[in-house]
Amino acid sequence: MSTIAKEAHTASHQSTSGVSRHRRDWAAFAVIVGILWCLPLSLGGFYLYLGLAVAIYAISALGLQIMVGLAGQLSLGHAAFMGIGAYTSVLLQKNAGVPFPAALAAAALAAAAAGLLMAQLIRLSGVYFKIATFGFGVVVHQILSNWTALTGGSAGVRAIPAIGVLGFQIETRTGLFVCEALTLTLLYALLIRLSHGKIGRAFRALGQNEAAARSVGIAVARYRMMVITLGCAIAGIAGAYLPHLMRFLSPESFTWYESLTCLIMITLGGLGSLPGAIIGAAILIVAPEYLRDFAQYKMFAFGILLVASMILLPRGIAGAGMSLSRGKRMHAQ
Amino acid sequence: MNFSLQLLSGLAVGCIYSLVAVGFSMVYRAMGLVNFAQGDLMMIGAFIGYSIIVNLPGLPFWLVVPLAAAITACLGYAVAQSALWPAMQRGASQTYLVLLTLGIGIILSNGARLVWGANPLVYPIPLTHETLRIWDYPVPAVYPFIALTMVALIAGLNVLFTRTWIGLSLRAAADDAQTASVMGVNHRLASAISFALAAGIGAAAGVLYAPITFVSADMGMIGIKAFAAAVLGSLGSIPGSVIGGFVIGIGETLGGQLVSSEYQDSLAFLLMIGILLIKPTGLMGRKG
Amino acid sequence: MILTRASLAATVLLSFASSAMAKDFPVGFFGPLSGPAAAYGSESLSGAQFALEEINAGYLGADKIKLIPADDTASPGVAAQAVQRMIDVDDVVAVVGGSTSAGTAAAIEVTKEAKVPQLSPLAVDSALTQARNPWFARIAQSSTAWAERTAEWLKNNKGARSAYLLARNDNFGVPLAEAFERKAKEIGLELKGRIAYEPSSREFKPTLASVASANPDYLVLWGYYTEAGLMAKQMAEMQIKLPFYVGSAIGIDQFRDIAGPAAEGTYGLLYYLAGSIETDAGKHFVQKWNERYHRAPTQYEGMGYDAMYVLAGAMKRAAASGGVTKQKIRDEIFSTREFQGATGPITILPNGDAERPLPMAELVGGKVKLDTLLH
Repeated sequence: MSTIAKEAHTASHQSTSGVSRHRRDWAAFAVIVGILWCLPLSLGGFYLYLGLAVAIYAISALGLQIMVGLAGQLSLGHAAFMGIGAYTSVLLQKNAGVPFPAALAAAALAAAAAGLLMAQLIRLSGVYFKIATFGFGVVVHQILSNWTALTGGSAGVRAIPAIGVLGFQIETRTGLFVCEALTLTLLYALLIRLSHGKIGRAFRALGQNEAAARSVGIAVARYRMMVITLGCAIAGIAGAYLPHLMRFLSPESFTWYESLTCLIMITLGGLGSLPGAIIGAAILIVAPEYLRDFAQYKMFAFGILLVASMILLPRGIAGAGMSLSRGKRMHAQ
Repeated sequence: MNFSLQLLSGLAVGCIYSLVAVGFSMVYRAMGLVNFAQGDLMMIGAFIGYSIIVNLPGLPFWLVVPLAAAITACLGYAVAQSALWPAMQRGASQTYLVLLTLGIGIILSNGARLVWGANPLVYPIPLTHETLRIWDYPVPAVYPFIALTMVALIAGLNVLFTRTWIGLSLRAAADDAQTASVMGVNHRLASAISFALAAGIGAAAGVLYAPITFVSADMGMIGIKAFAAAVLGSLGSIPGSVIGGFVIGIGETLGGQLVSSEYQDSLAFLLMIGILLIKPTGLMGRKG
Repeated sequence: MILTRASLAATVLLSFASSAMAKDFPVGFFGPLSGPAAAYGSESLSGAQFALEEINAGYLGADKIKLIPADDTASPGVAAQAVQRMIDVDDVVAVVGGSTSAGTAAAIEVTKEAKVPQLSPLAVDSALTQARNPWFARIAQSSTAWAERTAEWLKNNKGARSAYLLARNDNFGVPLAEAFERKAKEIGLELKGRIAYEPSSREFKPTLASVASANPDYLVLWGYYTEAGLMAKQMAEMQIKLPFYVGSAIGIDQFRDIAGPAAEGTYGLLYYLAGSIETDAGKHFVQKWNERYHRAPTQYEGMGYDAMYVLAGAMKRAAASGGVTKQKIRDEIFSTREFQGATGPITILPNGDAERPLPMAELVGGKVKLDTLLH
């Protein structure tokens, strides 16, 4: 009873504040994209390297965010799709000489196809689907490690070719960063557009209450399938960049631990918030570098951070930031 | 000879999976919650068992099991009251709750690593390396303990749920929290007790599993396979969890020879996904 | 005692010569310092730090080495990032590290790109040096050497005619198993079977049953100590009596804890066994370590100690012939010949692999006893 009332309330709240929310999302976009383009490039050196890592995981976290945060389809195997993207892209570039943009597209497609395969499991409702996604992650990791003829197995792939775009070889860190930042900016913008459109509203309805969504005529199964495929495709894009950063590719970069890290990113940043996914990725990648002496406490601290943020800031850092700024603005008025 | 030995060790490991799976099912029924920290509670139980053995040398093993279970149950009670209940009361989504239990699991496993160290520990008792001879078969000495505990716990749970006031309240709260609360059942207390019981059973499984292998901070990963067992046998059903545990335990030991051992980990999940696609509510699930 | 006095004299002399130009050279160290593989990283780090105390007391004249440790949690991504940071931010002249194969494989791509010499104390994967990376060397033998020495020892010293091979299915176990299989074929040691198992496996009874029914002379395992311990234990439970070769696990306490009485009589090839090296350097290290910690050094502590010394030796020679640059340190690391290390005389080969004696040991009465020093 109370949950339905609450949802009706949020729904009406959303429709009245839709325009302002739209504006707020683009304001956040401007701030984050501004920082993304200015900070790592002006600081250079290792900060640029960190910027590269943050951008990759931010892309991946955005994909997970629309699946988990927005549409409520919890995936416990997200890193597997990064792995599929990474291997697809690198093997195409290395063995078939495919240029990077095409390899990137192929990575997204391969991850989307695998996502579509996993999405077939939504017939296993709710709880069953969650554990199946974990199983999916395990199976993909084992295939990457054991299909030695194709992937090189657990020894990994070395001598990763430089990114080639339109005949230019991008060899420098700056060049790679421009490619990544461009991808991230475009994806982020597209996802904001999407989240305010019909599809985004359907995703959100799905995330809030599947039964209610079905009762207002939303094709639940189709949208679930769509959001899972989309989220996985984005993970594939992130994965395609990873080997170019590390210059090495191994199945060990796509384990359950990595999937968990992506989940912590979006939860810490704020479930359902696109800027939150990026902020979460930045915190989880940059913070350990400044706490190197406490490395053994890292995962323990991440756990505490996750649980504490869920209890104290149910809407994550981005949510807290938003309500803080709104509070201030109301004060000013 | 070899076949029966393997069947036996499949049954023993199956018992461990079953016990953890029963914990999953109890929490799922009482709170509608998929507890991803269940495996880590088992791990904490095994470490607590280690500390008991080291600090109280000479304490018989059959007392170590309930003692470790009781301590872990208290920990579980505290976790349920402090972290889970507030979120449930807020009407948090299933996704949120799963993430919360994952976070609790990370804290437990990494906290254990800080407290007990990164190296694996072995129970310093003769039981760890002894073998008995039963009808001329060599049987690890801990197997009878596993079998007895399994039978006692299942019988105990059966009595608890059907014969006692606590059990009836727990069932009422699990089946319909609102009606139960009208009838005077405290859902918060019932949830926390269920969670504590599940933690205790998990800890017992951990203490019983330790002499078969060793104790380490990452042994909670067994919980994920146990979860597959619970799902396989239909989540929420205690007999289903037991059967699911045996299917996965025996399937792994015997299937390991049929399928290439490189893919042993995938086996449990493929088995689970396969069965669920055929029978979406699990082996013991009711229709609808 | 004589040694310290000599080095003291050297310090005084050298500090006169170069005190005006005394430098602190930053050197990076990485390895798993947390997580399940922490023993490899933290023990080799404490060996390296022990060596560093001696080195900074005058081995390089007035110059000193400042060690910058980092944890790679045995993950390739974390290792690459940690090493990148040492290079970009700390401006290290060399990197010591790489304990697990995956972490090292990722890190050498970073050091190669940045042209910083890297010296690994423990990584054995033969693929690491097959790529002919001019910036990577190691003092641990390649997996090929480990596997070949073992196969020869089984055939020649133990008179084995057949063996059964079990390998951890990752880039630690698989290269070892492949090299062993090649050598076994070459010298006529019959292989009765080969099984790769998942790193997360705990239940080996089905596998061991297959092994027992093949009835080989020896069971050879290329895996981690936890798996070695469980296999020994489960074989005892199944009453399979087979001579069992467990690799470097034999030198690890936890292997003996897990296996229990079944550890008795197992064989293993170690990186290093305290007391097996009869040279001055070998004796000096064990004696000094004993004075400080009241126990013998472990194999990883010995390897960390020697890695630091081989690097310091290269830096010393570089200083004597022009200047301590990254390029010069690299050249000198690769020209290391018969370096008198605590773990035996070390020679770095042109591909970055090392020549060094390997102790084959047997567990007798709960103690690791030297069987043969293999060259």
